[in-house]
Amino acid sequence: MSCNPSIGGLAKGILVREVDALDGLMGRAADAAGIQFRMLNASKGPAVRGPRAQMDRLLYKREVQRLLADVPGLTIRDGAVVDLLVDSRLGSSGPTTSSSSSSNSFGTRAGSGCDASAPVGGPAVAGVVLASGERILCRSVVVTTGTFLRGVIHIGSQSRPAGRVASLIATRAASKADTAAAAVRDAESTDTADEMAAGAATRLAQRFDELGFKLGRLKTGTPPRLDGRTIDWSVCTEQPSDDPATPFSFLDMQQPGWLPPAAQVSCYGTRTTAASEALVLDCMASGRGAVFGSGLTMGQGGAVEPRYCPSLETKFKRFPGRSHHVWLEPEGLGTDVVYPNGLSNSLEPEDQLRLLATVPGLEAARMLVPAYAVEYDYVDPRELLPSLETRRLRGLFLAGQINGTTGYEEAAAQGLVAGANAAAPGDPLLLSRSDAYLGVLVDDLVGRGTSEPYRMLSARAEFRLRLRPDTADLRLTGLGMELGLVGKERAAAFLQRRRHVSETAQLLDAVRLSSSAWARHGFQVAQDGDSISVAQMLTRAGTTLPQLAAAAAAERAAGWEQLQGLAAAAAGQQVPCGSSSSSSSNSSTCSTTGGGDGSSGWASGEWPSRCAVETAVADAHYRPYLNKMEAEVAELRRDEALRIPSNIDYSLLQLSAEDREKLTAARPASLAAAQRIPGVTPSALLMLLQHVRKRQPRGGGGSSSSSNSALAQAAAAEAASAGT
Amino acid sequence: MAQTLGSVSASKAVPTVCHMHVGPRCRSPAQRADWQRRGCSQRSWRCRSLEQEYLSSLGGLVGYAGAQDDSSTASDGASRAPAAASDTDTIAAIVTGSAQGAVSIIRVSGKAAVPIAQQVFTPQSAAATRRRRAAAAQCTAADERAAWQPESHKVYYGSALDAEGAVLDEVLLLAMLAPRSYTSEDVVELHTHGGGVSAARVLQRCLEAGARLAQPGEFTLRAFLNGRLDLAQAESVAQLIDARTVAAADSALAGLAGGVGQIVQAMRTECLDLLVEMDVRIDFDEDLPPLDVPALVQRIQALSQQLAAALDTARQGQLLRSGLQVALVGRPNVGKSSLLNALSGTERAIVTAIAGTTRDIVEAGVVIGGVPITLLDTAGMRESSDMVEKIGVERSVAAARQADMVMLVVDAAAGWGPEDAEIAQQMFTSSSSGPAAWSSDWSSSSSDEEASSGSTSSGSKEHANGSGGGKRGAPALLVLNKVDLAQHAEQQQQQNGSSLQQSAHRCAVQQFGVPAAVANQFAAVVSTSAATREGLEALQQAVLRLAGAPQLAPGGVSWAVNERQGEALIRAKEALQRVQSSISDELPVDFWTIDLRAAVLALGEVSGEDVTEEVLDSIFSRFCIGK
Repeated sequence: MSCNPSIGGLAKGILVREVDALDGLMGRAADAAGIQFRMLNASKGPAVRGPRAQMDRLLYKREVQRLLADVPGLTIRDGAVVDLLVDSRLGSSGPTTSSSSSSNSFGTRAGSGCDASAPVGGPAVAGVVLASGERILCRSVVVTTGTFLRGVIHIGSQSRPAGRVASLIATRAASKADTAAAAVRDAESTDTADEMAAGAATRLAQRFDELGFKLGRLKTGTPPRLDGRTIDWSVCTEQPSDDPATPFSFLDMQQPGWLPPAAQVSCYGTRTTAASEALVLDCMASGRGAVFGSGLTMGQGGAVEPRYCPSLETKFKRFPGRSHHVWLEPEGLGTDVVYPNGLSNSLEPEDQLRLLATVPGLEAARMLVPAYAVEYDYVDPRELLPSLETRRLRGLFLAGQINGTTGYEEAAAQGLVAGANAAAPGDPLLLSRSDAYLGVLVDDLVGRGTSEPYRMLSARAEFRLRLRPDTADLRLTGLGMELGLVGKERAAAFLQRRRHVSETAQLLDAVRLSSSAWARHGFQVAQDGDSISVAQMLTRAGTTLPQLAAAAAAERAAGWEQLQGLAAAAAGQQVPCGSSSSSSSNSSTCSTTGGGDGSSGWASGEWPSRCAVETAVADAHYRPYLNKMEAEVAELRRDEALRIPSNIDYSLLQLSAEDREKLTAARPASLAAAQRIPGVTPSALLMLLQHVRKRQPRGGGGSSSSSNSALAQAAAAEAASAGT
Repeated sequence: MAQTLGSVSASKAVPTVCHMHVGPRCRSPAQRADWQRRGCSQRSWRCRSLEQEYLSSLGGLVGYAGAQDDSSTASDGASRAPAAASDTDTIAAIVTGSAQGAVSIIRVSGKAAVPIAQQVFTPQSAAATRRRRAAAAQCTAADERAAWQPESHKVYYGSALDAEGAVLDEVLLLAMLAPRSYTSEDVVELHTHGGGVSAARVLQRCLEAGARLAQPGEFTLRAFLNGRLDLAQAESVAQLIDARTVAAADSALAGLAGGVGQIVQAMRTECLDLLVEMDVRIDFDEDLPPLDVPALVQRIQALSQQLAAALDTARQGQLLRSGLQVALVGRPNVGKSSLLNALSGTERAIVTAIAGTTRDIVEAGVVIGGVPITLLDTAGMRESSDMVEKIGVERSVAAARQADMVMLVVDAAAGWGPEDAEIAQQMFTSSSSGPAAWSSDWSSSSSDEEASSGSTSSGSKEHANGSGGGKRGAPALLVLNKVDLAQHAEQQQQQNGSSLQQSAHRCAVQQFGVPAAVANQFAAVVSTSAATREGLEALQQAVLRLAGAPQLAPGGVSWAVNERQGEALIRAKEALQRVQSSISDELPVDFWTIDLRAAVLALGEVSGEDVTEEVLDSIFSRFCIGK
């Protein structure tokens, strides 16, 4: 982790859940290494909540390595890749290799099966060359270079090629005695690898250039690192961890009474002052600070930075006269290094010191590493297919910052998609915008490209009410199982949770009271004599399951006992069991077979877990809206089913020059994607639609029947890939 | 074709000149309500699929009689055909437009066109055979019908039958089998008698037999998709069918450059603004001030009102495409027919000095200021013992009720008389009583309850600007004809400005004895002479002004919205209503944004933009985001 060691957040937290649902490692590692858990937007609807956790950098790294070591069939090889081997024979099937490997700058995985989603013909990747000169032959390569591709870091006016600043200094300075030795060893090896990777990545960037990839340049920044022992915490606002903490991983969520294994700490908040603003503006006016690749400083507009992650210079310039939040976030339990989130800048180090003196609590803070900015290359993601395979080079997949994104979560999400498709191109993992944030991410990147580091935001997901964080598994794990991405443990846990959710939903539908009965318990309902189910009541704002369960119990409505059990489960209480219960110590499971009367027990013998009840309740809450959205989703699916061949020659279509240029650049995979390209005219879309329809094979009989069957096939294929 | 039909079924011959009001008029209140319902309930509420888009974009241009006009006659089940229409369906519609003709054509296209025809149609020979056989042996009608197979490009004469086998109409059937048809699919055309009822019944029967009501432009879309037309051709076909006048074509092409376009743009900006306020709080956990909910609700309400107003304006744009029906009413021999002839530059109506010459409705098409206008000359209204004249008078009343505008013509030379007063009274009182109002329903959009309950114009007629207070119904014009014969003629001025309007009213009161209360009920008063053509221009101006179309002069700003754009406005309005109900139901803010986004999208559909990026741009420029 080169930036702030935190995982999740709004929209990003949902990406983590989705990665987890497909049995990626991020959620589990984050649960193990989290030292402060928070649920963002907790006051808003469940669809827009975002789990976030501060990580212990070292713990996270170890956890990921431990989990990786356990992945069956994975061989890890450490080395810097400096070049790609290319097989330019047309239509060659490429060499095969039995070994899989990965290095710290990117990994390769052997592919198998046929190349269904790959570009037809054309050159293919044949392997990689390590810095040692060793060649590894393979069919698929996933490149994940982070910010290392021709990376240049700027510390004030000093700049040098690198992907990130060495971690050693800070580590050595601030590590706590008991962990110091290990931390320093770790930092040393990281720095060595970084240095190798930086050199290698520069050569790799040249290679991408030669291969004709369209490259762009992005800038991002990171704040200084401070010594926590020199911060006056007493003037800062404390922000403790949630209690109870909500984990990322569905596996942990299903553990009754899960608690974060690592000790929990607080983050703290402070704010910039008028003096901070005056200082930064003065520095910008005097032209001090980093000079970017453009030859200009930040104050002169020298670099394009992400809009959602502005530097302090930008914040003061654009929003003068305001105080800005600074969050002081610990980088780990075994270190005193503190990450002052919000102080990202590219000022000279001495100016940075003066800046710290203007922020309450940081007046005497020791700066371990100054803030710096990074400029790096990325490949225009419109060079990619929705599988994240490049169009230019068969078998070459790109994921992460190299595609113009920012953030660990976005990178992990792409890594999962690219990895799955690299491993089994014949069984592609392709997700729709209506299925997952993962689908939105890939579709946005591949279809529209990006001119700033792309960050996931819930505003990007038009179907966000369907894409709740708590339903990621229900949306994706089934598909993951079909594609062979999900291990046995998760598959079993998933099937159990899915059953729990559906049993709960059935009960919520089944328990009904008359409208007058609901009214007796203080609920405002129309007195039309109809009976109203608990699920229907839940669509009303402010109604909770315990309230409804209490009313049902008082009215002795059929199923009230189970409903009360659910309400208790949702509240995290002991589930009431049948009379002479063989009550287990497990707070959310309860057997009805142990001699109880069984009538008040749960049908399938095991009470739904709390998280399953919460999901079913939220489903009921959102149901009217989800139903309305179904038609739209169906339409999107239909347009997505109209696939545009990847080898389409736009010059053969009667298009305006502008439309042709836009379509050629974006190369949409489906009509749904073409529709979202800004500025493409309806006429062009109509031409495209006609073209796609025309090239469907013609069957016998009327022309309509032939296109029907083709449509049906396309729809079936789509449905199969959607999996649900 | 008319002759053919006439000869085979003289009993059902339809007068070619007479205008019967029973036909599917595209702007009847019920149909307008339907237009509105379809705007949202049938279409997806946020955005439509690609094909749906094309249909409506073509439909916006095409807009021929097809689905829109006949949806009111179709059963609910059929008109609620799935929005996600695919070409697996067999589609049907009346393709002969809303104008009255002797013959209506129902086109059925798709795989099931022939089987549907076999259910609906029985050739005469087969019917004869069946009768013979039925007498001789046992042979069911169904067997007979199934046995009949149409040959391509051959015309059959026979009957359209309902499900029970009763004859609906005598029809001609023309089969054009794939791929030698307009759509490249199997196409069957049924030529029925004109006048609407027959065609509507036969269409209904086709829908029952498994066809789906075609959407506007859908036949052309299929022709295009099946490679029969290139895009340019498809567009020109659409224009050919629809653009009844040059002005309409201009308007369709100009899109929404000014006028309503600017208003829509402003509303969209406001909507986007509201969305940004909400979205920023969902996506960024920053220290933003809390949402000011009452202020938001107020802004949303204001926006809803603006949208309603824009819709009213937008609806008037329909005039450009579908034209305006103007009925000339009055007592006999005041010169209605002369006026029609003078306005249309024809000798369409027979003019004599004999009162009651016109026995039936005579219509003449004329283009005024780019707006297609159908003038309906009616029988003079009087008590009559003549059976034919009596029917003519009834038709006059009916025509006036259906018309978009009514001109009460009086004889200036004779002055205001009791008969005129009676007709005027009938005009203005009947309008407030029930569904048989004079009005056609322009303003039903101002309230959805009105529209869905199918009631007519209880809303006020704002577009009849400057008219007397509290008047209901279609705008009415008082025409003082024969001013050349009137003594005060020399004092008359050309009256076409609003400032002069008052004086025209005053003049009518003072010089021609029109009671002030009556005069004020008319939106405009114009003095004319059909004989000298004096005042005709003023009359045309007044008609345009009353139609709410003062800017429609050729070369003027095009502010008309097409059907697609009108539907987008309706979707936006409904989306805002949902936002309001989400807020009042105290649902969380993420629910509000979904519908607000739908509103922005709907408004953006008019000009096609990218919402997400705009929202983000706005968020980042207005709020200090980022740690």
